[in-house]
Amino acid sequence: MDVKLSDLRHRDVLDISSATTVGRVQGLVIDFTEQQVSALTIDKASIEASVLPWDQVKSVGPDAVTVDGSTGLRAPSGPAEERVGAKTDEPIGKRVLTEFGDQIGTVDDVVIDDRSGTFRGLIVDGRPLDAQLVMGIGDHAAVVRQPPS
Amino acid sequence: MTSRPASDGELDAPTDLSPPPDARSQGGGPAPGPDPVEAATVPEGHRLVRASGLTGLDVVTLEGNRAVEVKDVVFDKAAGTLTGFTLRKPGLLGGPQKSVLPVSGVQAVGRDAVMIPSHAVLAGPEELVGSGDNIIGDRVITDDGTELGIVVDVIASVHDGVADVIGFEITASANADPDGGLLLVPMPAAHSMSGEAVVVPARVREHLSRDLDGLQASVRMFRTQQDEA
Repeated sequence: MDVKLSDLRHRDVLDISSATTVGRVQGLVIDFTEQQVSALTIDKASIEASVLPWDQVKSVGPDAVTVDGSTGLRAPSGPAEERVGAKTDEPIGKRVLTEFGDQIGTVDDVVIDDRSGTFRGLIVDGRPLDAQLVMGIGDHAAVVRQPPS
Repeated sequence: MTSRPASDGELDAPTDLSPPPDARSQGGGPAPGPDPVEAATVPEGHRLVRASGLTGLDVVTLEGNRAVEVKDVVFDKAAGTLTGFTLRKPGLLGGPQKSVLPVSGVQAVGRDAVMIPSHAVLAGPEELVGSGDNIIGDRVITDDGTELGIVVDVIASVHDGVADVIGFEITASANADPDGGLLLVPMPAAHSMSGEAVVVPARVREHLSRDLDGLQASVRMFRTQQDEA
């Protein structure tokens, strides 16, 4: 089922093996080449346990994201993860530029599939924009291929 | 004139129906074929830009990261081409930036940003031939000795690592237009430029226009005519 980042954010991350909350969902790390969420980032957690790789997620439920044991949580690794949590990393509100340098709107939300972690696309000015068109989201903008008119 | 930008092949051969091969077709979908002559002049997805309007544009990678913004446009007068951009750090207090952006590294120039594949295309200042925007203020004079006006801006098309100077915006002399004001002069394929003047064929006078659409049409007409001459 499609889930929006804005709905996913702040959802508790629950370790079902200890029945304790390890943190809350803060953001997404997306591999735009694979169109796949590679990790969730966690706030209210130590930096050493602020990244939850997608393959460690047991389930994305309506009230909590569950993990089975907290050993899968780890420190950020690589530029994409290291900038997560920085102000410039927030995708919502970023401008959307075409590959030709024209702004076509701003990012309202990011949509993923809550089972597979597939990146489904963006909501841009209230309209869905398919993941196939998204080239990347950086510190400044989301860059997209020219949508068919 | 020994070196012409590669894009002039497109401009000088408006009968070539095949669109230039480039990355634009990737996400394009089945867009209706544009008027071939139109496509030969300024391919779909690209537009004419005023050089003055580029200052302050963000330079953004295709991954969405920004490092710099455009400070100035650099021309090579001898070749009649736009060679690249000097850069500054973003923001009003943005300091100078040593690296430059050669045109060869530009993917596209849009309304809102200059797109580059990655930061790797930024180069040392020695990579840019030419200097500043010093075409501004030059006189535009025909080869029969009529001064058309003074250059206030340069109109160019920049995309896929190729820049083509399409024409100039001038403050019209009384000879060019008794009403004065701003006029757009198409850039002939053959021309000469120096530090003080741009010399254009007399026939350019019949192809002056007041807006970019008009300039586009003029360039097309003028360059076609020139081919036939």
